[in-house]
Order: sequence, then structure tokens, then C-alpha cells
Amino acid sequence: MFWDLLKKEFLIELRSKEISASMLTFGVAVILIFSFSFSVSPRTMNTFAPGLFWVMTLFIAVLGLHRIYAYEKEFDAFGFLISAPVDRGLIFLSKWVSGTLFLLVADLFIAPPFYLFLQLSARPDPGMNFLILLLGNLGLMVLGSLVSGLAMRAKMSEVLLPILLFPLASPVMIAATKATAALWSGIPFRDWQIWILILLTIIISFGLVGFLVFDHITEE
Amino acid sequence: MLSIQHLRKSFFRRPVLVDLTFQVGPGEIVGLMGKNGTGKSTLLRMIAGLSAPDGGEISVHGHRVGATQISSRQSVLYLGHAPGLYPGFSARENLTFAGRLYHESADRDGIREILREVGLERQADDPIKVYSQGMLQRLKLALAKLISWDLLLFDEPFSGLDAQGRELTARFFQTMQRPDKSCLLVLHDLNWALTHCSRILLLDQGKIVRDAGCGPETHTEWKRVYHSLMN
Repeated sequence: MFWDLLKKEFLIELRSKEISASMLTFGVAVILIFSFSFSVSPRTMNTFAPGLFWVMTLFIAVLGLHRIYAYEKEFDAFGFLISAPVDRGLIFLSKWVSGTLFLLVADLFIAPPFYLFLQLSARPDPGMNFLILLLGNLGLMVLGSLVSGLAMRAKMSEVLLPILLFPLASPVMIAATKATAALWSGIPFRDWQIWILILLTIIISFGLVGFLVFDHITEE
Repeated sequence: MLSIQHLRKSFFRRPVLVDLTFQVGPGEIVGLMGKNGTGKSTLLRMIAGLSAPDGGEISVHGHRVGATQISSRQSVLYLGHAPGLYPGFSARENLTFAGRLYHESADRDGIREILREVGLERQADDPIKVYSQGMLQRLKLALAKLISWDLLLFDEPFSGLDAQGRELTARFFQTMQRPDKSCLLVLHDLNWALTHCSRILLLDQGKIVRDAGCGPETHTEWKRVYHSLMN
């Protein structure tokens, strides 16, 4: 059933391209604004860049999360979905996994122009960089999927989502930014592994919470 | 089949359903009637497990209805006001996905046959966002034909249908008069309800004001009660 739900998410996105198009356009626009707004030395930019990257990712995630749930509100497809004999925790998992993959793809497309336009000089290990990106995205999306499930029934869900998500996402943002900054500065892994452990803890604990409480969150 | 005991629901402290108790037995087609805003759709959504009651209990086949109770949803099909399907998907894709959700093994030919029966064969591959209200209603009928249910909850099955669509829907409910199936339908056409339902529940201000069968001898009394309530 999980694979059917996941396939449905991808098929919808493949048809509409609403999530990827909005994420990519927004991401590129933010990069251009950053590159034209900051006239600082490359050294200062290298210090700020990890934070800027994750702030941009958070904004992109909100855009994607809103669309992931909005298309199911249109014809009340979500009502039909949750009235079916399906474990609602699996619906949460499919939203989380698909959202993470959409965000990851968007980040991978946005990373080269970000690096180029902000004239960054860091040469981080690509494998480690990808690991931080994956964990950061999983962390943002686990919280986002949970909050979106809560907010989607509200009339002003598009306003409610960032208001609820941003404070909750602060630990993920701090951990991902610190880990990225440490990697880009060439600091040995053992000195910043705590941030990876924090990300893993958030992913596992909120993943379990989401899976277990999504039943009740979706009920009116 | 369906048992409702002392059910209560309020929205913003305004009571919508007040201490509702009734049963629907196997083989019954029950019409749920009443003015707008008397809680008919809310009742259906609660039986489907979409909305939590403030008090009371709902059970289907002895399984308590609740957010975590998959077993109670296994034999219930809820078709609400909205299409409840994916606008970007075609009718065929929507039926295939819905079939998977309900663990139905519907093949391509089976789905094509159902779509032919409801008059949507030619539009089977069009995204349903271009469908008219009547076509979406026919698609809901296709869902009811595809999925094996014991209890069908259908909110206004005739809404937006043309004469042919109404005829098709009426025929469908005639074929569903079987001892293993029950239907709870939100209706606004008393004459249709009197002809096709085995029982009518009349709701007013969240309470059942009349619960009686629809034999020919009851028609005059039903019309009198119904019209006095609606006017």
C-alpha cells in the first residue's frame, strides 16, 4: 500500500510539475537576490553561505509542502483517502518520503548556481555534503508533513503552515547549518558529529510521532 | 450492520447532532432527510471515520468506528458531496487507485466495463478536472460498482445528474437491494425515497423526528410530516 501511495504522489507531480517548478523557480530567484544584495568579501560569504542555503531550503520546503497537500484538498481526495481502509500512518510516510525526494532534487539543481553566484571557494567532500543535505531535508520534511497534516483543514492553511513550522524547524536548521559550516570549513567529522546525531534524533523521533498520531491529526 | 448510540457533535459550541440513536440492519436502504444544516452530511462523515464525535458510539459490524480502527472502514464506502478523487488523474486512473486502496483486484477490462455501464467510456482517459458535475456523479457511481462494500454512505447521489443519470442511479440502488448490503443515503426527493428506500430517517435540529418504513400505506403520512417540517 505504501508503494501505491508513493507512486500516486510521484504521478501527480509528474503530471502537474507544480511542486518542482515552484521550488526551482523560487530557489533560483532567492539565489539571485542573495548574490546581488550582499557585496561582502569571499571569506565572509563563505561564513554566511551555509546559513543562507538552509534558509533558502526551508522556504522551498514550505512551498512544496503547501502544494503536496493542496491538490488533495481540491476535490476532497484526502477525505476519500482517509476514509479508505488504509493505515493513515502510511499516508504520512508517503507524504514525508515524496516531499523529501522533491526537496532533495530541487536542492541538487539549486546547489550549483548557489555555489557559482555566491562565488564560494569551499571544496567539501561530496558524499558528506549529500549526507547532510539528505538528513536536513528528511528533518525539515518530517516536521513539515506533520504540521501540514494539522494545518490543512484550516481555512488559512498557507499562513498557518509557516507560523507553526518555522519555530519547530529551528533545531533542524541549526544542526544542518552547523554541520554544513563545519564540513565546508574542513573541520574533522568527530568535532561536529553531534549535529548529525541531533538530526538523526529529530528524524527518528518525529517520524515515529507522525506515523503514530497522523490518524488523530487528520480527523475533524 | 450499523449501530449508532447517543451520538453528539457540535461545531463552535453549536450542537449539530443531539443524542442520536438508531440502527441500520442488513439489506436496508435508509434515506436520511431533513432541512439543510440539520447534520446529515456530518453524520455520514462521522460514520466514515472522517470526523470524531463529541460523545456516543458508532459501530459497523460490531467494530467501533474511530481514527485508528481500520477494520470498521473495511466494509464501508463513503461518497461525499465532493468527488473525492484526484483532478489530474483520468477516470480509469482514479478507479485503479481507489481499487488498490480497498484491496480490489480490478483489471483494465473490468474498469472499462464499469465506466461503460455509467456512460463514461469515451471520457475514460480524460483528466476528471474537465468533467461536469453530472459526470463526476457518474464516476462516484462507478466507484460504488467497483468497490465491494457492505455499507454505502452516499451524500446526495442524484445531485447534478441528468434524467439518464438519475435513471442509472435509481437502477443501481434497485440492484443493491440485497440482504448483505445496506445503504444510508442523504436525499432531498421524498417521492424517490418513498419508492426506493425501505426506511426514512427525518432529521431536524440534530434529532430524529421521525423514523419509519416507507410502505405504500405510509406515503400520505410521510408527505404530511415532511412538508410541514420543510415549510
